[in-house]
Amino acid sequence: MAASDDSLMQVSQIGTTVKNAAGSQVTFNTKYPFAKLDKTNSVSFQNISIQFYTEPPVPSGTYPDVGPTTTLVYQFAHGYTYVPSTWFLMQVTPTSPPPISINYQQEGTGAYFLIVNEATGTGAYLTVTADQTNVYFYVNKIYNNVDPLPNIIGYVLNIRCYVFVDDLSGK
Amino acid sequence: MANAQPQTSGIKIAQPGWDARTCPDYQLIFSSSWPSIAIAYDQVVSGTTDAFGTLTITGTHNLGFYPLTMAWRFSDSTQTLQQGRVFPNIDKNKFYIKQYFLNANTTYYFNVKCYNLDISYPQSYTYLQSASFNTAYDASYGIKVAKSKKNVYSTDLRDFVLHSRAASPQVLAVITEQSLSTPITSGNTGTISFTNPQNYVPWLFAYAAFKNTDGSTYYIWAPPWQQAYPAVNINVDGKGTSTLTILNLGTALPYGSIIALRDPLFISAYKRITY
Repeated sequence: MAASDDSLMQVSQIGTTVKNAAGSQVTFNTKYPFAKLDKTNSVSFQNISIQFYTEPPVPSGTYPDVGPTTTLVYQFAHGYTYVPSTWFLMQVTPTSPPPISINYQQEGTGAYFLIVNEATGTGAYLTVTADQTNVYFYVNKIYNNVDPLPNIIGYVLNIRCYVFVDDLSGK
Repeated sequence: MANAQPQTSGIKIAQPGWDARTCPDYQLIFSSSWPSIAIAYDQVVSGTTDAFGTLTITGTHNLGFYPLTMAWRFSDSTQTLQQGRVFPNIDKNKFYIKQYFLNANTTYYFNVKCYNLDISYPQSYTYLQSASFNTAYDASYGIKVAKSKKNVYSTDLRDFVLHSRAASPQVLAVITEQSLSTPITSGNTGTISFTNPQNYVPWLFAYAAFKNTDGSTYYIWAPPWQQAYPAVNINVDGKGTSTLTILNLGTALPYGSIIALRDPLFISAYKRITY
């Protein structure tokens, strides 16, 4: 079946007439493609556990070598030829010290906090990027030679990953 | 609170050998009663930082409701490397991206997706169990709906509105201030909460509302940093109750939402990495 703007199919929630349904009351509308994870692509939905037995590099802390130092800790091929949309939900153990003090994070500010001194900004952060081939996981460290070293050896990051079929072209 | 199931009308496609009328959900290829999330707006937008590195982008989605909205930032104008996701502020017809960069007078590009999920509209869905194992995809069976002007025989899943080779995250709940037994009065706070289903950690998003200078309402994403406002307090083990405190003070309006999404009904792969 091919959808078009003038051959619309719509399904509404129970109790709502199709004609008047809007927003979340619409459960299926051929105008709105579902966000799609490919069930045949094993990396589209996966849980990755990264355990640190080696310490990623830290800057010396002597200005201007305060970081961030960026270290690629894992990458995988996503199987597409374009830049896909991605979601990541990260659980970090041990739990980050206050003020973070949670162990489930989604990116919303570009980074996931592993260990951080909020006042000085020193710490270790996880960032995730994607290009037309791979998804990349980096540990970034900032250090000022005053705060404790942002060591993450022994840390375990459990990351729920979605790599959607849907690209970022906006087309 | 709206509760959309059980849905007795709509579309259901069962896996081969199963009766769509009676089989469990994890034996279905598709059901229109699943609160699967769909993309209602999808555009690339750009903006240039000012002399202090501040970037402000206002875009128009014109959906007429407050959609769950996400944006992915590109590294540069080639748009060949995305550097992660941000959550724009949302109003009924617009979105607002505000970010701070080290580089002044530099243009940044974002892909913005608004999902067909109204964060101001309370909903609750039963947590459906996933299958215990994945069933092999059968290309000769199922459902597919191609996008306008796309070929239904395409092998590119991007060309489809719906395809039984693909699955979507689903809504578990949208909890709003309407869950409070008494409205939050001026100058006071209230707390809304969501308790995870048994032994399952959902995707949690939270927003609190503010008043624009023109009097309209917009929602700001709540990070899990305790010192922020708005902030969502996610249970430390991820499995208990998460809370969002809402203010009714100044431009802060007594509205807020916790949105819980769940995985699609197939089994994830698992990979263990040592570094």
